[in-house]
Amino acid sequence: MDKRAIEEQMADYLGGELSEEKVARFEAALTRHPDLEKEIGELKGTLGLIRSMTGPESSVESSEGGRRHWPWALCRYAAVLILAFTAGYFCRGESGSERGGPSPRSDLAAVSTTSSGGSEHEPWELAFAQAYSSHASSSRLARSFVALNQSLNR
Amino acid sequence: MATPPGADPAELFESFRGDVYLWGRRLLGSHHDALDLVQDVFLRWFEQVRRSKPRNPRGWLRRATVNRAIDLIRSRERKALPAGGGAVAAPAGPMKACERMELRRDIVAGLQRLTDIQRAVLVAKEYDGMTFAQIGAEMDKAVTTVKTHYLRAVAGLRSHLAGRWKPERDGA
Repeated sequence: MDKRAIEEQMADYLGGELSEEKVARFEAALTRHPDLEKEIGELKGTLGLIRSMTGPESSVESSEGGRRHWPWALCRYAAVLILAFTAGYFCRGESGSERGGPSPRSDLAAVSTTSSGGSEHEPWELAFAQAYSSHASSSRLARSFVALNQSLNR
Repeated sequence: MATPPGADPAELFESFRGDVYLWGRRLLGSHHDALDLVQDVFLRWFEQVRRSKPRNPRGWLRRATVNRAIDLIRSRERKALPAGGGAVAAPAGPMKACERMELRRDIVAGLQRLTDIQRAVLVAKEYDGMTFAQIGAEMDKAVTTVKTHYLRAVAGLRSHLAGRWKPERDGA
């Protein structure tokens, strides 16, 4: 392949429109023309820069936009839950020690009892307590939440 | 490649908004910028259609996208790149996000220095993945002419980026 033939195929080579066989032949011919080899190498480098930008996005860049913030939102929710749980746990322990350590069930019973009396609890607290009482498998978090509200109301 | 839509603007929007977004995303690298670009480009399209409808909507939209991306880059203050022998080793391995953004902007700035036809050919080839034959057919040019413009465009970009970005040796 002479110099002219290389120049004619240069665009196809750089544009990725040569078959593998032709690429091999082209590159073999290129080694005999160092000046063209250097020039084509530089053009390939430039195209490499462009293609590095047009290929699959990096994880950092592709995280721009709405998706970028979801881990932070998740962390915020997790932090709120952990705080609520911790606060509820300690308040419950404190109130339990003052009153001789009643069980969560008895706390809820107290809420339910007061509910029949009327004004001490908010309606949503009463509804929550009733719902809790009717489900034996309620979570520790829920019990802590009720205990926390009770201690705050005292 | 999407098929040419009919005269219905909504149909055209549905057919090409994905392409315009993709070109914008590749040129600017940002989801939000690409969405803004889609809006701008289609507003321009609707204004254009009122005057006269372009013969090749896809080619028109691609050119408008690149031009709008260039406007956007122009209007922003660019951070100065390391100068005087401080060429940054570009995409070898994981690049920092800011370097990638800077390179992307530099490439778009380099596109601005090309002639309209060189820019159109390069973008069609590298950002839209068209073959030389397809580009020739779209632009009503001979394939050899398209290839010549392509090589000149790459050479133009090379001179713009030289000294600022250090390509990989194998050009991968």
